[in-house]
Amino acid sequence: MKKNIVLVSLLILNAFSCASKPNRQTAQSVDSEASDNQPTSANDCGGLKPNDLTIWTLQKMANDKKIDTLNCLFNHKSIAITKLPVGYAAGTAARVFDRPILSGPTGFAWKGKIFFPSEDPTISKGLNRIRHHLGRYKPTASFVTKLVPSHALVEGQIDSGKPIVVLNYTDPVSENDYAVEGLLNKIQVYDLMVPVPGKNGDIYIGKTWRGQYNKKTKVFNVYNPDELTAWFFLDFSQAALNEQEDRQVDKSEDEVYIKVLPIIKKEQIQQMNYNY
Amino acid sequence: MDISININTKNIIGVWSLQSFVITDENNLSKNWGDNVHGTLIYTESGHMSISINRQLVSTDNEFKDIYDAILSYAGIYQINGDKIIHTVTESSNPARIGQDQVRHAKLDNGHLVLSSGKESFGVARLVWAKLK
Repeated sequence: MKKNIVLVSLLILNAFSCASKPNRQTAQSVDSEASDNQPTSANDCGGLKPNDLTIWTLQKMANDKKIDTLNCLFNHKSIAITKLPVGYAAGTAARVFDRPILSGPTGFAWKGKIFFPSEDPTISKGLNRIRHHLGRYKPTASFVTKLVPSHALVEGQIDSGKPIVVLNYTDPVSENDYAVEGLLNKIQVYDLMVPVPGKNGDIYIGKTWRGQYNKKTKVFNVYNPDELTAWFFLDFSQAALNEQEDRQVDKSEDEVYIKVLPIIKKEQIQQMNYNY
Repeated sequence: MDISININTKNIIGVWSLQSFVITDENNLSKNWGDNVHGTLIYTESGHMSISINRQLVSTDNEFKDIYDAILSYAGIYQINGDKIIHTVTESSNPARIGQDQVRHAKLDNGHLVLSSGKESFGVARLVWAKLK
């Protein structure tokens, strides 16, 4: 049983350019299968109507400790997709434990992720939108991502046939040598997420674990599969990005945007040699 | 006149010297963390921080514990969130702290940086720091 073992491999980072003016790419590459978009019952998962879900209602659920409901959505309401999402995503997050752990990069200083387009729609990379300690939100803390048919960390939980999105930050994590990237090299985390139907389209429900990556064996050991560091929620829709700007004190001019998202090439993907 | 200023990255960057370290317990009784307490706190522009505090050794039958109890140090990154400063620990004299956040209420009082813990099992810790020129 490899419940707490996750295999990952290396990625050569791609250069990208940043711009101070918002110019977000929000195209969604999610290829949903219509038959899977409808939940079996609107009253499943605590009486929720999934199509009313937003990243803020999900965050409130997590803060209100409605973990069974979140797990129900995560395990049984995910949509079968064949492609990774692409573009900017508005994000919300909630810590799991009362003891503060990584509350900056996985909480108050975090506002979402950026998924890059790729020549292989099931393997790519991306960055987080994290507030730099000097003020502005910047594309930070790169991850390698892959769409996988199943995963040891959620073995037996997620309904069969529902792919899972894996995000690995560990090698390499840096693009800019920001302090938070150095932190994530030392205090390593690993994410899984699945899409569910939401108000503005698909919303991703994610879980974050702490662990340790071994560069020689390319194995990521999750310290405790039953102990999450955080929940996070992503919405790639323009509506959610607009709502996030309206809700936040930090307005769009406080964020450094990537002018043109780099395309992950096949040659890079081959070097990624990505296991999970 | 007392002047209290909210903290921001600009006004905390630098090297600070510990002036006092007082713990107030649940009965509102205050005492110093120890005798001859001294320490240094560093915030850098890059987002890193380091804190190192010592007190006079108190000799018991357990020398290792005596030494451990006289040291309080860790390093990591910091982020400011309103009136709080969060130290996320990457190295520590207590390895159990690695990966955790040390959340401190922070304010500048008459040029001194005042950091207070929340209510802990031991009470509330209040540390006053003076900036080194």
